Amino acid sequence: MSLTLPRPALWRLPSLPASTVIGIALVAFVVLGTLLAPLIAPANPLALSTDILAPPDAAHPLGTDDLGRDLFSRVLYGGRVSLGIGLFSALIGVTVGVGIGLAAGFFGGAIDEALMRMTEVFQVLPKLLVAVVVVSLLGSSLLNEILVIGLLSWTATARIIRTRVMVLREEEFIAAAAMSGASRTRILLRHILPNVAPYLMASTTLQIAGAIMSESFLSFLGLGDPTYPSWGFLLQQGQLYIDSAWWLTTFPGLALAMTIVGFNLMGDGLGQSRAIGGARR
Amino acid sequence: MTEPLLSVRGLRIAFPTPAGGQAPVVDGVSFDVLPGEIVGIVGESGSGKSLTARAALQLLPPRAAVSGEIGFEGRDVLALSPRDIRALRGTGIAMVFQDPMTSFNPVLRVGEQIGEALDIHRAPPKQAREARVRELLSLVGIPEPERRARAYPHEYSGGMRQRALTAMAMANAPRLLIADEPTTALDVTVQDQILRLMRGLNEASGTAILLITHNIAVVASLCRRVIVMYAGRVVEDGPVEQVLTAPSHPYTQALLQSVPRIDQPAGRLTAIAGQPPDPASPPPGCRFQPRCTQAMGRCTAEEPPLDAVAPGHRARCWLALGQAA
Amino acid sequence: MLKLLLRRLAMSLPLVFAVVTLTFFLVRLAPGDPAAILAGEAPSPEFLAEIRAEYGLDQPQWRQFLAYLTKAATGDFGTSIYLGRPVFSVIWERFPATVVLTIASMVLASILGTALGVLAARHAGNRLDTVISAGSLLGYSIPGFWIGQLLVILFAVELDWLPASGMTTARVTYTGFAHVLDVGRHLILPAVTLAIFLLTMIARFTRTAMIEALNQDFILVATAKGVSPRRLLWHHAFRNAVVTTVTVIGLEFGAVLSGTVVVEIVFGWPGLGRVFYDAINRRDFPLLTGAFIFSSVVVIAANTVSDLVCAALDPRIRR
Repeated sequence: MSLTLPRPALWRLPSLPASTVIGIALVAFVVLGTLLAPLIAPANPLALSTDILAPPDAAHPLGTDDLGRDLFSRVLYGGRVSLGIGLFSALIGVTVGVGIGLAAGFFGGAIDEALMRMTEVFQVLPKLLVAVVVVSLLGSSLLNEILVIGLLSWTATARIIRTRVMVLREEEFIAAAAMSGASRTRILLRHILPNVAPYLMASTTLQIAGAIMSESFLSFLGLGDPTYPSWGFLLQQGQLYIDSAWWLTTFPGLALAMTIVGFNLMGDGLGQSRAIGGARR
Repeated sequence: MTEPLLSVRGLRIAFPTPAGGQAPVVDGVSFDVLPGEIVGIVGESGSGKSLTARAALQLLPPRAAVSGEIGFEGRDVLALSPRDIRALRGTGIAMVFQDPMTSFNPVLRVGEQIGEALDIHRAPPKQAREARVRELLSLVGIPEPERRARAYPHEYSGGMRQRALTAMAMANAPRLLIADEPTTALDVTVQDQILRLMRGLNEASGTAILLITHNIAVVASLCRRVIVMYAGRVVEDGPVEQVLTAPSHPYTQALLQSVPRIDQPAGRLTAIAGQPPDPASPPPGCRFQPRCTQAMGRCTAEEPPLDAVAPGHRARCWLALGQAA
Repeated sequence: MLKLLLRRLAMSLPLVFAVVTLTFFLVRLAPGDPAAILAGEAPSPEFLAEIRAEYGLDQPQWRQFLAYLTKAATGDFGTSIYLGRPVFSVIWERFPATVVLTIASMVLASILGTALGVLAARHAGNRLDTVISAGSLLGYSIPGFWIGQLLVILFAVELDWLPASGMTTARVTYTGFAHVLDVGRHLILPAVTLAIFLLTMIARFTRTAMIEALNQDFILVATAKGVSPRRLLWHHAFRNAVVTTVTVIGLEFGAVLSGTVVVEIVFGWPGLGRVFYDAINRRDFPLLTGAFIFSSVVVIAANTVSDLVCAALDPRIRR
């Protein structure tokens, strides 16, 4: 029994499942916090004080670290690093994924075969360990982290886009465009790309979650850029004082967890509302 | 007169609609199947014939609201407890389904699945079970039963799978075999083999068969009696020769005209115009009236009853009942 | 089956080759003199010369590559700068601890994840399903090492029920069964931490596969045969869904092995993960690249095994 719903007008908010709304709220909360960091933060995140390893109190709502720096401020500014790396790596990953997915799905044949073999290889490799080796050898910098995480996380997008393109390629309006003499490039850019665009929203959101997770992994191992301490970097420091200063571990981790949960909820919701089954694979 | 084996009385099956109401997809269906008899139910998809068959084994999804009575050997099937209905499935009533491709579990050997049917109800010793599996496979005409029992479903052809499926249904010598579109997914020559197999089983073991099909030609070659269903209702029933040679209901007539026949020029073939009604909002009066070429005043005002047009032959049509005025 | 094994091996070997090649070029892509990178910080000129000779860095690139391949194929990953011992012997010494940790958490994750996935599928759409699905989203969204840190704070620091770190109790030597118990006590927290990610992935994909299997025609056919609901669920539906479960375990094995790196740091577990961490922080590149190639081979091997298990479970894959 299929229901035909009227198409929602652009100005009307589509009705989203509760989990998606929670996801959007979490992400909005975190993004706002980091954007407004200069206004909210009680102190300069780099300012030292004699108040060393102080538990949360009125002056330092989340406590201080081993150099007396205010943890709340460090979490706010650390979010900029984590979110920034997450966003840019995801953009790289999605761009590469779309390119490979489009090429494989549109050209098919030997090109498809070769690209899909490569995708399988990337899926099998222990990606985080590859990232560890690359960043260790090439040096810890924001750029290296973004590039490595981005270039290792395109497989899911490539598979989704490939499947979509293969479906689209069979549809009539594509055949009509080909018959009317449009070039392959034109068909690809003017007809196919706009039709896979909705899938990119969900894909990008999920990739951001994954990229933030990967970044925290690298930073926790001491491979983060020390000039820009991310949440994972804060957690690495927290590990040193795990038996005496619980706040150093608890709060940066909470921010990290909230953000990743938020993006995953959002991505799942967007994926389902566009009827994309199994967007994570 | 013999006691009927299966006796369906006033069966009604309704599904909840998205709007919150109930849409009856089978509405007031009654018929009998006698022991050893072969009866066909014909109708388009959506006529409710498959649901009627599934209700006989309590195989409908939980959201379906079922009322009425389905008597089998004196017991009301619809009132049986989960344990009792499980005991009846396969032994009293067995079923063969439409798609032999998907009817077998792909990861279990065919012999294992036929053996399972035996195990559930009588748990024979291993050797006896394997012997019986081989016997069943050769009964349905599968060569090299020993080797075939060890094969997986994907190693079988479509026709072979339908034979094996029939063997599985016959494992516990059921008194009634319900065959739901057993030949639809097969090509014509294989169809013929399966139908011959069914007739052979009926003659050899006395198993009654209820054949569900949209293909009236299949009914002609196998059944003694036929029930025609349209939009959840029985519109005509009677002996096959009578119904097929002198159909009383315009729907049956239309069905017969849509069957290709060797003795008629291809031009005479007509499809029935229009669509079956939405079960949530059936048309007023006779349900076939919007598509009927012979519809008249009374047809839209009042639904006709299912009444005798000849001895043992009933139809639900004002025209056929001679009360059109 | 043998043919399949050979074909899988034929696919795995190029992968191993790719990993070794990647590592070789990464070391050369790194800024600066490869000899200086391999020699660690502030080496003496003599030591640099020694490294050059040992790694053949004075030879042409293709020769170096061939030499690297030959050495890697025989398990010779060079000498650890910091420890002054062959890399392979360092890895081999630490590997068993990681095997114990990985197997414990995979067993835990497989049993619990499967049970939760099947349970959620059986109650699809109900509250129980919602709770399990939400829990699994949390499980794969929260970084494992942070969960580990919280468990340490709660169970080791605050409650003092379980040891916070290490594989055995320091300064006490247990033997026999007491030793096993001691390791077991130390194993609980890290194994649980490492299991969470895999557990939630297994639950998620098993649920989907079970729902799909339960909607297949053959379930209806089996029901009509008189099969009991329990047997339908496990013998018929799960026998089909388990192929997905095994595939997930295989695909996520790399993530699990990567996870041991952080989990071993949090819990001071003396395994391969610690080797990575120490190699990173001491800039001991022969050790790091050796551990990487070794781990990659383990991951590729695990994938091959999971493919073979899938083929054993599903006759349609065997061909």
